[in-house]
Formats: sequence, C-alpha cells, structure tokens
Amino acid sequence: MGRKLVLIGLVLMITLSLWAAGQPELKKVSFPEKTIEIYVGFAAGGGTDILARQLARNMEPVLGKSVVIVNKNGGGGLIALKEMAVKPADGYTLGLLLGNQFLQKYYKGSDTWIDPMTEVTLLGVFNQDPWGIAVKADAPFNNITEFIEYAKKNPGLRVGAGSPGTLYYWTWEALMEAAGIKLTIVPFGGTALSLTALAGGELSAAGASPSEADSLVSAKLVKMIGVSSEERLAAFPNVRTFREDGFDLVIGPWRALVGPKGMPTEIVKILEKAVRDAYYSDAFQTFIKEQGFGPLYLDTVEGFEFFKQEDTFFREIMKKSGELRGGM
Amino acid sequence: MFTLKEILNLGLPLVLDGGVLLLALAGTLVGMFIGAMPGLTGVMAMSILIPLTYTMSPTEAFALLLPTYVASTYGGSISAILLNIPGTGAAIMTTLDGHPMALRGEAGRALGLSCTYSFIGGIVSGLFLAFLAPILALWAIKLGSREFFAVAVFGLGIIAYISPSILKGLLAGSIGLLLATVGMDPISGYSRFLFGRAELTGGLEFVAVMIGLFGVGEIMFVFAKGVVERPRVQREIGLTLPNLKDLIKTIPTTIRSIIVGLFVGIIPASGPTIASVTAYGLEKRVGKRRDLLGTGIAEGLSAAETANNAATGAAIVPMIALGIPGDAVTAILIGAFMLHGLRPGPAMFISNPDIISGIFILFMLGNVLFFIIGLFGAKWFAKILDTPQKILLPIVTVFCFIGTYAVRTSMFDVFVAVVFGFIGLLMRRAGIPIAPMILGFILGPIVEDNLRRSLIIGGGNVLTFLERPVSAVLLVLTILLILSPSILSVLVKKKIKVNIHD
Repeated sequence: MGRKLVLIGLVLMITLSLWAAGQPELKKVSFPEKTIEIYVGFAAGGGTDILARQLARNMEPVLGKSVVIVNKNGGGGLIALKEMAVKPADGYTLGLLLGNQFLQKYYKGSDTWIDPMTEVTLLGVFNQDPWGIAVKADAPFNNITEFIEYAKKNPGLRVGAGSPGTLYYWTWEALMEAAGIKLTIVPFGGTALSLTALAGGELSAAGASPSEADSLVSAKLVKMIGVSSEERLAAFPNVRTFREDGFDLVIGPWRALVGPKGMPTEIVKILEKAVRDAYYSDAFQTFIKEQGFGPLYLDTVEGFEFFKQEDTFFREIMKKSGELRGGM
Repeated sequence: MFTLKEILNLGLPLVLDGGVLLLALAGTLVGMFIGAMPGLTGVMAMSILIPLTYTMSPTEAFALLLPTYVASTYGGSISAILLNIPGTGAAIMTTLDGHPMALRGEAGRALGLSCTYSFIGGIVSGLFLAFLAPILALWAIKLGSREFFAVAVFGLGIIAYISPSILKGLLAGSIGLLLATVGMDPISGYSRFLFGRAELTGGLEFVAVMIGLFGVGEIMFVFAKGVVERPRVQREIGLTLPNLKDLIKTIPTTIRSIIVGLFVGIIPASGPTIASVTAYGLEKRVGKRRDLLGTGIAEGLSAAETANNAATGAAIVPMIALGIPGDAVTAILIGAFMLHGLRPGPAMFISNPDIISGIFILFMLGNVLFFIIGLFGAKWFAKILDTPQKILLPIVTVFCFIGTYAVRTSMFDVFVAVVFGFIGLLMRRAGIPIAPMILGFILGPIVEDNLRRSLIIGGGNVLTFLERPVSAVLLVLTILLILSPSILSVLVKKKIKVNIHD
C-alpha cells in the first residue's frame, strides 16, 4: 500500500513538472499535427455528405493536413453529433450541425437531442439551401401569392413534407402561420417520395429545393412556384423567390461545422479561418453553383447570433403548434 | 419506356469499362463461392460486399452486387448436387433430384443441367426486368400510399406460408413487425423504444439484425451442435456440358417453371426459394413424369433451378419500379442505391436512365458469366467444400462483424448483431423459421408508414383503400389467401358428405 502511494506520488510529480515545463510552449499551438476527422450523420453520397466532402477537400490546403469524412448516419445527424461531442475538444474530431438539431431540441416527440447553444463549439456556417414549393405541372397557380389565394379558397390542400423530425415539415407550419391558411401536411420518408406522390396526383404541392425537383421538372410532371431564399439561385435563374411576389419568408436547411464544447480559442481561430478560406475558394464556389446548393457563410460570431435567432424561431413555432417539449 | 437500343446506348458506355467488367467477374466468382458454401447465402455475400462499394460509382457497385446475387442463386445447387446439402435456401429443391443423379455417377450431367437451367431462368427474367420494369414504373407513378400499403399487406399475408408451421411463421413474422417499430415514428416523428440510445433513432440497423440472425446465429448453431466435418468431395469432374436431349425433353417443365418463377418472384416477400418450392410443387401435380420426381430426373432440376433463377430478376422489378424490397436481397440492393444517393422508384427512370440501363445489362452479364464459369469450373468450386469447418467458420465470423461495423462505423451495431445471433440460435433450436421474422422487419415500416399516410390522405376514412382499384383487388386477394385453407377445407368436407350420401 505504502509503495503504491509513493509510486502514485512520483507519477503525479513527474506529470506536473512536465506539464509546467511545457506550459509556455502550449500557448503557441501548432495545429493541426495529424489528420482531422469530420463525423457526418448522413449516408455517403447524400446531399449533406457530398457538400461536407467538398468543404473538407478545400480545407486541406489551408490546414496542410488531411481532413477526412467519417459517415455515422442516422437520427437526422444526431448519432454522429453525439459521438463527436464526447471526443476530446482538441480540434481533431469535428461534426456537422444542421437546422434539424434545433427541432430535435424543442420537439417533444424526440427522446434524445443535443443543444447547439451549449453542447458544441461553432466553427462556421457554410451553407443554407432554399426551401421551395413544387406543384403539378398543370396546376392553376404559378407563384406563391396565387398558391395562397387558392389555398384560402380550398382549405385542407394536401402538401408533402418530411416527418415532424425534419425542417421541411416545419417550413409548412411556418408558411401556414405567416399566410393564415390551413393545409393538410402529409409526412413522407423523403423529398423524392413526396415529389413522386405529387407527380402521381396524391398531393397538391410538395416542399422541395429546386435541385431536388429538377428531374421531375425536366420530365414536365411538376413545376416550381418559388423558393424561400433571399435571392434567386445561380443554378435555377427561372425559379422566382417568395420575396419577389411580395411574401416575406426566408427559411431553409443550413449546415455548420462544429467541434466538441470547450475547444481552445487558438484552435477555434485556426479552424474558423480554414472554413472561411475553404468556403470562398473557387473550387467550393463552383461546386455549390453547379450542384445547386445555396450560398451562406457566417463566421463564429455571426453564426452564434444566427443560432440565437434559430433557437427562438423553433421554440416559438413548436410552442404555437403545441409540440414544445416540457420545461423548455 | 426504354427500347433495347436505348438500354444499349445508355447502359453500355457505363458497363464497357475494364474496372466494371472485372468487378462483374469478381462478383460472379464470389457469388458462386458463397452460394456453394452451405449456410452462407447470397444475402450474406452481398451484405459483406456492400461496405466495399462505398467508394465506388453506382455502376461499379451494381457490377459487383448483381452478379453476386444471380451467381449465388445458382451456386447453391453445386453443394446441393454433390453433397446433398443445399448451399442456399433456393437450392433445397435441387437436392431432391440433383443428388440422386450424382449418386448414380452422373454428377457431371446434374451440374451441367443445373447451370443451364439457372442460366435460362436468369436470362428470361432479365428480359422481363428490362422490358416490363419500365412499363411498371410509368404505371407506378400513379400508385400511391394506399397501393403500397396493400402490396405490403399482401407480402405479410404470404409470410405464414413460407414456413412449414403456420403458427411458428406468424410468431416469427410478428416479432419482426414489433422490432420494426423501434426508432422514430415515420409520421409523427415521436421516438419509440429508444431506451435513451441515439443509435436507435433510425430503428435497428437492418444489416446488423440480418447478419446477426442469418450469419452469427447460423455459425453458433453449427458450433453448438458440434462441428461435424463433411465427407470429402471425391469425384473428379471435367467440363460439364449439358445433355441436349435432356434439355429438349424438359421444355414444357422449363416453360412452366419460368412462369412460376417470374410470378412468385415479383410478389414482395417472396423470392427464389418460394419460387422453386412452388415450381417443384406444380411439377409434382401436372408433370408428365411426376411419379419419377425425386429419383434423379432432369424435370426435377429444371423445376427447381429454372424457377429460382427466374425469380431473381422478377424480384428486382418491384424494387426498381416501386422502391419496395421484395426480399432480403432486394432490401440490400435498395441500400446500395441509397448509399449512392439514389432512390429506386419511378423517379429514377427519369433521373438516372443510364444507371437503370446499366443495371439491366449487368444483370444479364452476371447470368452469362456464371453460365460460362459454372460449366468450366464446377470441379474447382467443389474443392471449397473440403475446407474444414473449424477453419472456415471463424473466418466467416470475422467477416460478419467487419461487415456490420462498416455499415455506419458503429460498435453499437456489432453488439446488436451479437444479440441477434443469440436470438437466431434460440430460434433455430426452437424450430422457429428466421425468414418470416426478417420479412416482418422489412415490411413493417412500409405497412405502418403507408397505412397512416393513406388515412391522412383519405381524411381518416378506412374505406379509402377500396376507392383505388389496385389496392382494393390486392386487399381482397390477401383476405382470400389467408382464408383459402379454411374455405378449401369446408368445400372438401361438403364433397365428402355428398359422396357419403351417394
């Protein structure tokens, strides 16, 4: 017993002195020294995955080390985030945070969630996709105003969305709230499925981004009546914005790079710069234009302000529809 | 709608690539190898291969998976014939006439016939897939939640009949349905049975459950029984060309079995195994030489092997056209689509006609490749069976766990596979069939999702299902399917009574 105590004491002393000796050195961090991993909570090849891979590729030249994607899909990105959040906050394990996470935080139906305000360190928001409305190609409305007029005359129009665990569901709720109309939201397992149901005549409209609806639009089965972005998309210059038609609704799924909470400021600075430089690189800009992803960059300060707005927005919308988690 | 010319124009540029052709060859070899190994199924081969396709293009992925699928359905007959052990479920019926033939010293004849019948069935079903799937797809865009619900319920109705004991089949199927409810509710987004585990948000991982039940469970079952080394394969078999006279003599059986295979194969929750059982059953009722079945005649091989391979292409039709998995294999293929951000279904014919065409060509290519390799290489494949089980099975176990882990780099899923391995072992011990459970697990979410969505669309009215002709007909058929044994027995009793009165 005595010998063990002596041994523990020795180890402690050596560790302490080594730590003390290393202190001044640690201030000037040399980061990164090895490969950085980004946990992506969505299947390889999906929209979020390919965007994350492009960002990682363009971060590499800035950081001088490899940045690799590790797919841990499931739970709307939650599984990957949960695993990431318990890793050391040393900047070598990062994750993607989506608007979904605010939904999960406030929706009383979800058992597990992560709080984007307190449980992660924000490194930058690098994309916001527009949400839009697709209708049948022969529908009697061509823009958001006409659609709202029609919906007022025909209450209970069926519109396709994801499940209430997804942003696409709550954008319809937000639209109903803003326009004072009553729609029947029909949840589907994915946008492709609700678009197919729209083309088949089961629905009057489906929530979709222009790139998601593109194949059916080119098959002349559906048409886009508008998008919720601030400006028209470069890849789809013919699709009008809601704002142009006098309806102010800017909403859409966004993506941010985050790390575990409590990351050292020096490392946050380095990674923030890497995200910014990657975002503004020619390769990344060309990529998002070609693939139809929406542009948005917010640094850690702007991003946190944005998070605060999102936090209030989702809390309010859940409260209004009676789905707010108790105690929130 | 694709014509032959369009399929070739769109698909061939994708397929005619050194890497793609090499993968197709590799897939064929792996499929035959795994299919021939007792206990290892094509399903398992594909689930092991799926992680390898993460980094491939969709065409490369299907170049590996489709030939594996069709070749494993054939490969199962090799061990069925040589050792009287079916390599896969689909080859159970092949043992009945294949092995007696081999015992008579006609192993070469049996292997040649089995390979040729498999090839014929496969090619016809490939044509069916290429030229009927597009028609179905354009028709399917009009189908909605109510029809998908009816199709899935029809699949559930069949579960009871794929098990020797209806009660045990229903028991296994119900457990599968219950397991399918774990995770986020598809309509309300509420969490169910999560026990605080974020890993379960999306439900139990399909590959983990499947590898647990079929792979780990089977291996534990073999070891629990005590490993018995199989008799060595002794005979030397050279080039095994089929006997032309046999083929001509069995033309009526072959045609019948193709029709049965296509029909059974296209029904969700069915597949090659049920197709070969049904075709063999039909042959037993209407075949010209039905009394000789089971003694080693070509008709028996034709019924079993033509039908099971004819079902391979047909089983893919609902998946390609409707996005509905017909069986475990097509469920894996759907996974392969999704890995590449593709969602099979009507929209894919419009969005990715080149990949669809490539799939048709690769399916055909797989059949051609196993035909050639099967005729020349049967004797080499037989050698695999000489590997001692105590060496073979541990290797397979390692692959099972690597495969499960790789799906989403999750140790949690490996534990799920181990737990389901024990469940699989207990089920085998208790004589409860595994297949109905996995089918319940696959069909459960489709049934629930579409039932609830249909009710939202129909404004809460249950009769909404009868408003659509396809769903009405399917639901009536399902009821008839479930009630037919009782109706039949009532009719038979009446007949007997009448006879007594006479």
